Amino acid sequence: YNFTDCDFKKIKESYRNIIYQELNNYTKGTKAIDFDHFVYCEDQPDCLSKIQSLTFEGRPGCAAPAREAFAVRTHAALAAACPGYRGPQINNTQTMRKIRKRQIKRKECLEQVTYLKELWQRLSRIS
Amino acid sequence: GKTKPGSALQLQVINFNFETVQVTWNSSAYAGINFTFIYKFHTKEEYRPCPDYILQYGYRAGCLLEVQRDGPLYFSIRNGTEPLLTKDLAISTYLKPRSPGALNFQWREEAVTVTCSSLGYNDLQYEIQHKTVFDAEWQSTEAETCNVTIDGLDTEKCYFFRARVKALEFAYGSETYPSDWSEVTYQQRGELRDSCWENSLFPKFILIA
Repeated sequence: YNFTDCDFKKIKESYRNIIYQELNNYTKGTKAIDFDHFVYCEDQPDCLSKIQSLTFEGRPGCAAPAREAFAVRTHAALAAACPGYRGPQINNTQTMRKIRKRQIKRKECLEQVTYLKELWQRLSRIS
Repeated sequence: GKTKPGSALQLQVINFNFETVQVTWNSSAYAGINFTFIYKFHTKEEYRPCPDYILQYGYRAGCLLEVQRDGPLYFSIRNGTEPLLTKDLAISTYLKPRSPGALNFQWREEAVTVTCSSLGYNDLQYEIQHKTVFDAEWQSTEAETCNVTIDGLDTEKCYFFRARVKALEFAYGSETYPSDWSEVTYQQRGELRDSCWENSLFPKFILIA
């Protein structure tokens, strides 16, 4: 999906008002300096493309944060602001119940979501 | 931002208003060693040596880099050819904005609007503090632009004003630094004063003995 035609102001608002807090809840206490790398994005479409990838696609050690609250909110924000965007299908009710049961966050997931936070922060600064 | 205690090198990074970035390291475990700092701003670039080392007790304790924009920094700290720490980071994460420049005051009855020049990048919080000589504590008023209105003032009184800038966490993260406070400015009856001390504490009246 090409994110060029998204309403970036609207996405920034969703991020600032909802997604940001959900990401903070997930990474509570984790700091960027704790990790030796980070993910950079150049412009708005590039940022959203990398945000989608890190949010909905699993990586070694971190199955898929797609079931987390921030991912559900991200999906909703993209669907509302990007024409024709459908992205991965997430079953909301089942996801919320699963999220509440989830206790242990693997270090790999914390690292992945910390990178996600930096991408959202970058997108915010350039929108 | 500082690295966790216990890692080989304790690192601190400060991005001074997207103009210079200071990376310093504390190497109690490697006393007497002169480290080499190499860096680049883009993955495709070649690493370059630090142009301006910061020395402490004659040993390299940090590096000062000129930067142009909000972007990534890739660096490595080596002991000879052996890399001790290789890292990449977003310099925005460690932003310390410049202190607000000249403050402007627009008085209107019992309110004043304080303005100052924008720093040229987004998602900042401008904080204006004020007090009189009789107040022990400063009072804060904040806004996301440098156009802050403070109500409920008594124009007869002499006020101290100062300002600083903070990076908003949703856009920069939680490891930034507030700017230094601006110089204190004194205002009374809508005019600039050199100080608030004389006429507040020693009002002009004649003692008839």
